[in-house]
Amino acid sequence: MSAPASDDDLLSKCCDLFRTGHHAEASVSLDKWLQNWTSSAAANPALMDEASCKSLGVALDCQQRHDWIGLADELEYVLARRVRTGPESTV
Amino acid sequence: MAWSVSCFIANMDEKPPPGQAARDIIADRWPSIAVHMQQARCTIELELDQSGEAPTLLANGIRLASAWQPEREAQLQCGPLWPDVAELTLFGVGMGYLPPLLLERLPAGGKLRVVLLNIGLFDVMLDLIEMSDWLAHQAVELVCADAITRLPASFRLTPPMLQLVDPAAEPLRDWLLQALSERHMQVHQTDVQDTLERNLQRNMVLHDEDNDVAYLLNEMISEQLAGDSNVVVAGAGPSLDHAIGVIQQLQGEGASVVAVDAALAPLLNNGIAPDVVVSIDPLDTIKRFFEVDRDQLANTALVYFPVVDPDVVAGWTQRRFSAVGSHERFQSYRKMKKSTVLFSSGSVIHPAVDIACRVGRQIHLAGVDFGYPFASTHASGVAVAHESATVASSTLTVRNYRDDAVPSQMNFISYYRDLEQFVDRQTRRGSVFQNIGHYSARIRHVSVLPVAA
Repeated sequence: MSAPASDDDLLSKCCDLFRTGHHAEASVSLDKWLQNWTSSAAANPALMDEASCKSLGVALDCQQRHDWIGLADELEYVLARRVRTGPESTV
Repeated sequence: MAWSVSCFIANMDEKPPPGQAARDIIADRWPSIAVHMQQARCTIELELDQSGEAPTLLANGIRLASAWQPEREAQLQCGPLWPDVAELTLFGVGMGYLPPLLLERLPAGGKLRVVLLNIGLFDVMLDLIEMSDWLAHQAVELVCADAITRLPASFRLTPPMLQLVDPAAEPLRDWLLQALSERHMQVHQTDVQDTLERNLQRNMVLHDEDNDVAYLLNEMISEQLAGDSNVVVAGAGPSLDHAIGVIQQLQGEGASVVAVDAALAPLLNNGIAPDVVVSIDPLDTIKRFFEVDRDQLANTALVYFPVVDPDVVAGWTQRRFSAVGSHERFQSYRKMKKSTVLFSSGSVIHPAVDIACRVGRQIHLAGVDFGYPFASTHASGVAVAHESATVASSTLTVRNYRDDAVPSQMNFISYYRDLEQFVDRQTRRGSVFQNIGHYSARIRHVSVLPVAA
């Protein structure tokens, strides 16, 4: 159920880039992470539960209004924790 | 941290305002900033955000600091400090996490210059967050954004503040965005590196055969020896459509017209044959800019950088002149033959303006937008022009002569600020610039023609 360590690293690096203002680079990393996450979710549909979908929606909203810290927070402290601990756990 | 955001917000009703102590320090140490603060009005909507473990603030919907681990985030934003850094600049205060951290790391006798990016917001923040301690620190120097004329070697920033800057801080914001995206832009450059190298190889013979642009410049100068010569530089931005009438008039009065390649079609569609067309883009998409009625181009010269698609160069049957940029990729060309180096930091408008400055004194800019006025990408008639809601939703903006914030994108902003610095240098050398359109990007030292609205 847990995401591979490399994905954790990728997401962590991506969020660090968002938090330090390197949005263009961060967006490239985010794209890669989302591709990996989508593949994982395709193999394990339980990852794509209602809470994760809601979290992704919040992240997307942040991205659209360029709230980069909000986006990093949602990915790092909400969605990734959920992916790491499994859908049955609450954050 | 020794303070709590929610604690201060809860105490908002207290008299005197919680920020009075901080304001007293500012009035004592930086009286001119205190005056600015009194005059400033905060137009930003602030909202308390308690969705995470740490209360934070939303400014116009933008989170100013992490709602989960703001201290860890601030450490990250502080980054490493080199031991020999005696002076450090911090751009933007936000919720005030960074100044105390940077002061802790600053070597003895060091200086921390804190640049305010939004004075009205900073003034409001003083009532919400305790900032007296770091403001009173002897190492701190508080300055307004307009005091910064170039980026210092060492700086840190509060990233969300880049989206909340005062209009006066917009040039500074753009330099910071440029600096932050530099690494990413270099990676993007390597994507087109193969095309660049291939084009350079294939153009070598043509470049050797063709005259250097210096020949053309001399020719144009001798034709305009009257001295007070006018030159129009036509970019391909959407505002070019509104400048056509003035360009026709200026050309009728004897002005030369230097156009970027993408502007060829809209100019020719309106009966304006430019004297010079400039091309520097390595991608083959520019071939479409040259799909025009060539009969009108009998007296038009092409000035190209040897990175341009070879089919474009070989396909130009009228007079051709080569030039190079200052980039090291042109070194072998410069060794091969004496080549004129034209200003360019990535946009074709740069060498076009450089040519205009070398042959004329009064430079008229048209279609130089660096953004998407009218939610369009180019002037009417440009082969690749399209309306785009995506680009129009961008939060990166440039300001036009009507004071509108026009949607833009990072590389445009980079080109815009580089041109502004070039114009600055040329103005000191005697060039006089005017913009024909009020919808174009507002460039320092470039006035706008009052007749065009």
